[in-house]
Amino acid sequence: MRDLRSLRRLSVGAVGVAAALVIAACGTTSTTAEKEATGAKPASAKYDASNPLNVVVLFQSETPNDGGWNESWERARNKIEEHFGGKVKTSYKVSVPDTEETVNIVDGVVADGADVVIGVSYGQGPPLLKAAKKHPDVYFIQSQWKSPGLANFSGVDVAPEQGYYLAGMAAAAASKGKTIGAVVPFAVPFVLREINGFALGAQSIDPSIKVSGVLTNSWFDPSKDVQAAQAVMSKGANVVARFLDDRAIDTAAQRKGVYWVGTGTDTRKTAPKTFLATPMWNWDGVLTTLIDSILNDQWTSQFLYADMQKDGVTMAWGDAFKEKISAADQQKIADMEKAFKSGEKQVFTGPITDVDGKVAVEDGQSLDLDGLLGMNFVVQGITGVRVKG
Amino acid sequence: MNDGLVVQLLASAVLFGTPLLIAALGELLAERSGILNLGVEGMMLVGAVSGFLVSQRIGGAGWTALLVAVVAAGVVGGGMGLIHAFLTVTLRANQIVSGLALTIFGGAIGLSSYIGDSQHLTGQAARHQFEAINLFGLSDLPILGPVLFHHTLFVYGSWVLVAAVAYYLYRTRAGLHLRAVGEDPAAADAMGISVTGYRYVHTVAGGVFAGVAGAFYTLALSGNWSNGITAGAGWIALAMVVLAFWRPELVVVGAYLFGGIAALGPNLQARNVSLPPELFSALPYLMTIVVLVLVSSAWARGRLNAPAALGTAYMRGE
Repeated sequence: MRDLRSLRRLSVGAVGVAAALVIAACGTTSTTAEKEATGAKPASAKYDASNPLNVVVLFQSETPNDGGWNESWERARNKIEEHFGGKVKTSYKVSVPDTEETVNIVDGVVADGADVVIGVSYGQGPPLLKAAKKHPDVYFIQSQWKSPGLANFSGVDVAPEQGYYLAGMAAAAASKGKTIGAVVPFAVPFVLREINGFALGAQSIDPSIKVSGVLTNSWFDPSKDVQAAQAVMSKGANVVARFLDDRAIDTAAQRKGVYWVGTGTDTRKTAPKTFLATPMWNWDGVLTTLIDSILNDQWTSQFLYADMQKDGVTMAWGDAFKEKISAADQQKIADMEKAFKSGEKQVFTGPITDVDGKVAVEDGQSLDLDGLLGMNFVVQGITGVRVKG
Repeated sequence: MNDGLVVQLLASAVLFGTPLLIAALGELLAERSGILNLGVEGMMLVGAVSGFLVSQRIGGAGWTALLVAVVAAGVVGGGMGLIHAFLTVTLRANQIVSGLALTIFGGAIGLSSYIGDSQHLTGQAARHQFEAINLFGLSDLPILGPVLFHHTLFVYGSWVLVAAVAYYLYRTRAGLHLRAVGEDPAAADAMGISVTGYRYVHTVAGGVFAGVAGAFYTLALSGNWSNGITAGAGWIALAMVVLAFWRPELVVVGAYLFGGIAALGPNLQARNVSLPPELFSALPYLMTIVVLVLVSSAWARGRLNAPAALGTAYMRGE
């Protein structure tokens, strides 16, 4: 299967590269044409039940119901469809890669009548930017990418660091030992925000607690993920947090009586007995804002950052949270959640020191959006996770 | 002592080597008859999803449900093996193409994914799971306890399978005939052995083993179904048959070696040994390449033991 698929990708990819070269060539020979393409937003149109706005969501996973990141987008897609009634029609495509082939897939989606294309994976950013240049009449919404001046391209993001900060507080409060386990896919900015937030939250309850991470180097591989979970549990962790979409970890934890922290989507059904917490990503708010702006002909290219204040992140707590965590710690967590919601507290406010003892965030400073989107440090107290440098 | 790195590694080697072991044993039977089946990954996935579906839907006590689920996974895997047998033995289709087609058909964008989605299996908590059994009450023994005597029935069953396959292959008349069919089908045919019959039976058996190996993932390892849950184990099982020189007793060694190497990375990381994770991800494949290079040398080739007729269709009177 791999061989055939890669062959297909290779051939389609080659076409894509050729197409991209042609576009690039056009771009350099005629700068005025490019300015026109990037300067104007798509022409306005009337959308109603007889001519609904056609929204297509591109998933990189093979199913939208992955129990994590992709499923959080699928939830949002269903909510949007409900919210806008017949005015907006949504659909999705799975197994959309983050390569040149993606541009071709977007070509097909646009040919089928898409008005809005949504890229769910961080890696889909570059091909979607290319596609946005190619299709100035189509709106593009992409997770975690800022528009480089393209009028038809907007970025969206949630605040994973806030949700994981609260989950980290709960993990430290529930832990009997000094080690919390973490199964980590890659040390990329979004994941670093998650695990750094998690560690800072845990340290706010117990400054000496350690987060012992294992990098699996893949987004999904049940064997490897279970191995990683077992490895940290055998080292004595009695809370395991996962930063990837694999429910096998939940089951492996419950089997050993170890509490687990999920990601993005509430999967407590998988292993309810030891479920502690899951930070939930809610994309419906930002997507509703952007789609509203299209329907009202008010669209501008922007970047929407949905933190707890905007309900982009909410918490799902397990029974273990209420039963195993002291009232005092529960109060601390509730207070912090309030502070995030009111906007008076931010996760990455200095002084923050990285694993090598260097200053990552200066005293009194807070990371801005660019600092978050480009995070490339690991905070002190995390082992096993390194940033390539 | 039993929480130490070495014990943890050895126990992981046995646990994570088991599905590779079962699938590779099945493929070994098929290849011994001369049929190469690259559809192992697809058959495993369909077995994994069918086993999970049955265990979720069937009523009754846990043990009966699990038993029926494993049987179902085997039957479905066997059914896919039957498709391959029909295409390659009866229709004499190219074995490589047919096997690849089987993996695509069953794989993460095919039948297994369809069954999982249409039955809403993704995200369901398992109703029944194989739990580790304290065999003969020995699981508290130092070192050997956790490594050998605290596993699920799958693991103990796989040991029985290895012994059974080895006995069958080397000590029974049918095993002798099987080897003859794989080495020289024309000669076997002349002796009155049914080449078609042997190839059908053992290709189907390979499918049954692969289906059961797939069920290990959903019924014993992860406790749920996710799309593409075997994550390439079928391909490693295929390589394992070559690495084991088509000998069941060596498949055990290879499977546990792979299981151990795969577990090495996470366990070292959890103990603060900072090494690039890419290295550990690549290790099983690197090892495959190294061993393949070694066994491909002229010296090794003479002793390789590959069935001479592997991959070729048999037509009487050719």
